[in-house]
Amino acid sequence: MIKYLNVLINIFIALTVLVVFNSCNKDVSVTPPDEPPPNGYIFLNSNPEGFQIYLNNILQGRITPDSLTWLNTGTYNITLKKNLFSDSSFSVNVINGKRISLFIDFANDASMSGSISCSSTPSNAEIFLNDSSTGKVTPFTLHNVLPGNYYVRYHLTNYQDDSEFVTVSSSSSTSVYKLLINTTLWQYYTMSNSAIPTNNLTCVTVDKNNIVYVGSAANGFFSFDGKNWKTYYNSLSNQINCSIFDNNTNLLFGTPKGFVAYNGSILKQYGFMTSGLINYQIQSIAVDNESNWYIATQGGLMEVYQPYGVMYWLSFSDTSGNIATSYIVAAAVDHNDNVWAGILNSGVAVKNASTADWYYYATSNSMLQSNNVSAIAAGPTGEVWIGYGLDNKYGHGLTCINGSSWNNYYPTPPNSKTTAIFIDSKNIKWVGTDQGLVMFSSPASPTLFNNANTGLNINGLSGIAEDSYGNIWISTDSGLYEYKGNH
Amino acid sequence: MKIFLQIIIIFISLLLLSCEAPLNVDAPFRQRYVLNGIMMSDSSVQYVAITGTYRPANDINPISDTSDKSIIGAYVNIWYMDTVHTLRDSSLVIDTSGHIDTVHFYYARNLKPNPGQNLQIQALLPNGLLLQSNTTLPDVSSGNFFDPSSDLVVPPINGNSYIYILWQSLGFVYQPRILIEYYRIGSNQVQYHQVPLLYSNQNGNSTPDYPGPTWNNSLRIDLSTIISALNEIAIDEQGKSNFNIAEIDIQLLVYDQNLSTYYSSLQNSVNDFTVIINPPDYSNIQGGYGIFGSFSRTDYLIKFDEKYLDSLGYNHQL
Repeated sequence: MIKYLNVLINIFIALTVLVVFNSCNKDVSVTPPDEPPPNGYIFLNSNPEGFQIYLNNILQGRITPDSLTWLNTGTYNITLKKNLFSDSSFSVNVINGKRISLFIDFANDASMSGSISCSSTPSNAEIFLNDSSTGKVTPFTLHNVLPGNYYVRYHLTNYQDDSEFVTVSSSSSTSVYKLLINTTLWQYYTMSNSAIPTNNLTCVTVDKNNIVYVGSAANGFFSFDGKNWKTYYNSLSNQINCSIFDNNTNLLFGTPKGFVAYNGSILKQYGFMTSGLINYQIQSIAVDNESNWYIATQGGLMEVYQPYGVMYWLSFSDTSGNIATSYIVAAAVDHNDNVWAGILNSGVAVKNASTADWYYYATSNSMLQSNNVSAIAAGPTGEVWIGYGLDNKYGHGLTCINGSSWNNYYPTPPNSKTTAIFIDSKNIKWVGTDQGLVMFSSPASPTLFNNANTGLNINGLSGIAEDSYGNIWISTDSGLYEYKGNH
Repeated sequence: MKIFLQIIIIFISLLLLSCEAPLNVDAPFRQRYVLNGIMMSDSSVQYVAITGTYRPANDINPISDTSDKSIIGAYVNIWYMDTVHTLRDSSLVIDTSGHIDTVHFYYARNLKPNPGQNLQIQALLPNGLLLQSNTTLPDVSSGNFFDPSSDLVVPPINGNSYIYILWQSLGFVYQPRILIEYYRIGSNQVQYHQVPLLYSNQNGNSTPDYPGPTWNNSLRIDLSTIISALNEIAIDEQGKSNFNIAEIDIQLLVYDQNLSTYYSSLQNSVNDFTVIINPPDYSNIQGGYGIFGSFSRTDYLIKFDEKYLDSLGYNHQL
């Protein structure tokens, strides 16, 4: 019995131990803790700053100096990009928790820089970069220039400074060539360097006090006394077609609606209802030795003479031609008071001062090169020079008429259009063309001034005049120019 | 025998006491982050909000905690075509039911995504956590998105007492808005009046029911509804002559796949009074929760017949 009791006790003890050790065996699942984010770190700086940062070819929206944070351990490809600079790529090994600081000095990287090739005519001009002297003179190539925008300026004594904005990019060369303007020979006045009201000029005249009067395409006319500009408006039209000084007191300006006479203080207007003009579209004005005015209009030529202060308006009648009604493009009075008129596409008409008869000349009955006469000028010894507009067949020379002698010359550039002829006090001829200014004493040896050899934009030339010092004034569609090399 | 009895008592006592261990069924709180942003094809400014989950102070009512849960200082980029737009942060103070809330958000200017284009977003939180997602705007740019059989004139020339508009089925959710464009005489400023799908009668009052998001790729509007909406523009019959009625503009917002799926997940609710025990928590944010979606807007214009407007007493746009 005791034996069985012991067995039972042992069983109970075993069960007890089993229950005690197993009854608390609970299954409790726990979500694993969040892993901390990676903490790799790259700080990127560069000289110059402002490079866009690409991480593994993906634009990060950050520019240097800036940092890339929370990176995993690994190798990253970093690319830095900036406008005008070559792209720069490199690899970085990032270790979690470690900070990496990188500085890329592009300023001392020759492969990143570009160059500026500087040259000028004449040479030896000092080179300025962003208004700082480089200590170099032309011709010279500036190497190791960091990409960017630069202001290049050349300075040479007796020449006008010239400059240009250039853009330099990595591994490229930018050329800057300047034809420097000789300021001992030329002076120019444009809206960029003076108070001139407009650059679009149509004519120029100098009075006996050396005041320069300039007509414009849309701003009336204005005067320049060497320092100050004064603008004159009239109620006829601010489009000035032509001008002339009448040797007496008046400056005459032709407009599409009549003409204006200015005597230095009073400005008189002659137009509709205030004149005897038969046509108001004035193309040219000439003055004879007695200060009578010859008004060339789109509807004929008129003479205005003023005995005893009374104005008479004379319309020419001529049975053999049409001087009274034709479109007159140019007019001049020669040394003998013969009146010359260029008729649109019809040659020239000449009024003999002695007989008052009109004679008509065209290519069919004379040595005129073309009927497309554009300019006429009379010289001090009686000769008359005629220039031509563009013509497919001719139109690239001049015709000189002296009495009964007719001669053709070709001092102007081929296929150029003559826009103005002026004969100065030294009997030097100045011919304005659409390809520059031609000067000659003898037509066999002309001198051409154009943009290519002066640096001046004088191709759109409209008028020529001389002051008492012998300076030549030139009106163009890009400003007023003064040539001082005629002394 | 006495010993045996004692052993049994000890055993039972151990059995009852040995499992007494406190066990907290609440898991420890772990903060999660939520990014929400909807890219709009008809806007050049896009907005993104980032918030964090929170445990309310009293552990009972989460709505009672009105503190701002926005995550400030995140670095948020949106990649669109070949450009990355880094979003700037700002905040808005709003008055909701008497108490002032400050809402922080991120925004990008000069970002007007085109239909059919993909945008990727990446938000790097101040603690280094990264939230990422992307969306593709539905392509509604094709010239014949609206079916040619759709009505072009009110009233329709086929004599129907309704107008019917049908568009391409892209398999997305559509949100239409029906607007009457009109001008007050003497003003060049266009004004809009929204047209409901129908007017329902509730306790004798006419209540407009405006169209909501739908999977249907068609829209039907009764003429009587349009007339009722027109009558709301002018106060009285005499006032109608003060208005020029231009046209009806059907503005259609086409949700992208993400927004459409999200909208579907919300449709399991029976009604507003039902609390779902295990609500769907659709998210397309990698590394967190939320929705980064988009919609494309396209418009369909329907002209008014001039005589029809005249008969209603309105002027027509010249």
